[in-house]
Amino acid sequence: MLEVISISGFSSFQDMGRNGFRSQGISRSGAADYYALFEGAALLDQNPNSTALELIGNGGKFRVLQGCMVALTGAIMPASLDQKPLAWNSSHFLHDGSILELGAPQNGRYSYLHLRGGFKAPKIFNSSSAQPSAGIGKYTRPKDILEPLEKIPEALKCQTIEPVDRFESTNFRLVESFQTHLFTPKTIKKFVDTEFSIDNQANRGGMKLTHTGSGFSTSNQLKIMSDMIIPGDIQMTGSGQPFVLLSDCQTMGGYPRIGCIIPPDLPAIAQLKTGRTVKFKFISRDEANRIASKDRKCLEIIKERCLEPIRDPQKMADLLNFNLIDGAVWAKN
Amino acid sequence: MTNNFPKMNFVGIDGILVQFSDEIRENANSAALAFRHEVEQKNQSYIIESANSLTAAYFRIDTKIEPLDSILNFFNEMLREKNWYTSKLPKDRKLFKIPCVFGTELAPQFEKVIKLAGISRSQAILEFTTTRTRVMTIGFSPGQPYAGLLSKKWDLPRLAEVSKSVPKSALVCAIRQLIIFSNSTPTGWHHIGQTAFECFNSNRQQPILLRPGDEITFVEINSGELSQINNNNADGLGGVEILEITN
Repeated sequence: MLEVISISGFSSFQDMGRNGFRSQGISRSGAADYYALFEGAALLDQNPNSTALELIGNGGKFRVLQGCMVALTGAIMPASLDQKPLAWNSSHFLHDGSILELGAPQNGRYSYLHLRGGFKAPKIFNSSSAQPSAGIGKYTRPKDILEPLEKIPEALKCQTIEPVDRFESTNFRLVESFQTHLFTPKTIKKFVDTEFSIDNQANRGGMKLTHTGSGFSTSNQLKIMSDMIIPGDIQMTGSGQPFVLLSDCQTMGGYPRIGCIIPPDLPAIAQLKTGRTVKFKFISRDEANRIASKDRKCLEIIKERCLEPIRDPQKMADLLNFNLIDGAVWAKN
Repeated sequence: MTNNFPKMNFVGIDGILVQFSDEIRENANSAALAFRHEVEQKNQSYIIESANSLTAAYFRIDTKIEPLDSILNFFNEMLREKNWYTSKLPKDRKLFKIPCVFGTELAPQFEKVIKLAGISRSQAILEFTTTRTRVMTIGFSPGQPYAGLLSKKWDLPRLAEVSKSVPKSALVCAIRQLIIFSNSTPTGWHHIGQTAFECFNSNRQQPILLRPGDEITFVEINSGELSQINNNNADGLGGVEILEITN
């Protein structure tokens, strides 16, 4: 059990999100980086849909009210327990009365604190994912008490995990969607030839892309009928500026979508920090489905990426320097 | 255009959109609502979820359970079964009479919009308080209705530049439709009225009340009356009167 001492503004509980409520206007939501949920679940030997705390921005500080086991995944934050460094992508035992501190993320936007047994959070429309902007759930705030949903008595070894490669991507794959044909072949060509930068206007609903040159519009863009939107869609706003839509995106909208990023590439683009550059390419639906099914299979055996820590977890500060990331390429190739 | 419809299209890697028109029309909306409803009745295990947009039915599918070709065949056969455009609306529909302040500083785009539509204030209010618009779909955010169709003079484009935030329960219009916003949001739609009706309120036993097929009309109130409603609005009903539609 943890007490929040301080926490960055838009941090909230997230799980794998909600399905089946789109017809009532309810977004899918769920962790911006679902790989991180799988990694945390593998480290703590639990269901990937267990509720985790998604941290955005400057991290947080927590008082341990009752000894517990946690895991840290997603964008790497400097982490410490009573000022002794803790390794990222690892599980740790936190003793009563200790202080856990997490700093600003280094290689991405979204970091995750997992608790053995999952955090206890109200289920709204079958999910504990908060979407405060839509009136569902709330942001996690200082003084909140974070309790486990389930108390699991048996001890578990601390582990470390080789994270799925996703923090250095620059090329993203799209499939055509039902509005792609509204754009001329010339506009589509210009789109795939353009290098975009991630703008600082980015949140769980979507991220703006900027580029030099004119925008990407369809004819009669302002009178297009509102229709289905899904996470991954790239929509063009009124001025033809692309927005990548993410888990908290609305269910429906009127700006035309040029294509849809395939789900296995979504955590990677969501994690990109402001100023990083990206390019897009269209792939066939068959290829997209092959990649998605390979991705699912890899997640099914994610536990194979767990290693026992090389030494005492209390002294693993230098694990951050190990080259755990560069070699891990299986999700992409 | 309409002879190309209905047609099937893809949404991302796991979605199928059965489209009944590419322009907003009431019979295409009825077709989409009925098609989704009847597909749901068939309980296909590979359909993860479904929803309606204004003129289409959306199905999220799992091709691990059933191959795509056979799923597409199923939809094609369903489409051939009948003329979906003459479908009846769902049963048990309701009429929502929602108190609304038109114009004033609460809804600053009203004056500009009636000028664009070419009618007077009193004509506009008469239209909004006597026309019953159909909830064609629920979407964008929790419980939020897209209602229409208004007459042709309301076929106004959205604003190219998204305005700064419009409050929760605002009444906005564009392209012959009305929306009551579930939450405050930046928008390209024109803010013409302000209600106290919350499309989504988790204090209510039924957080979401509106369903596709329901109808909405408005009762004009002044800002003093709106404040009074807001003073006692924990359930977010905003003074709505809900009547059964019998026909």
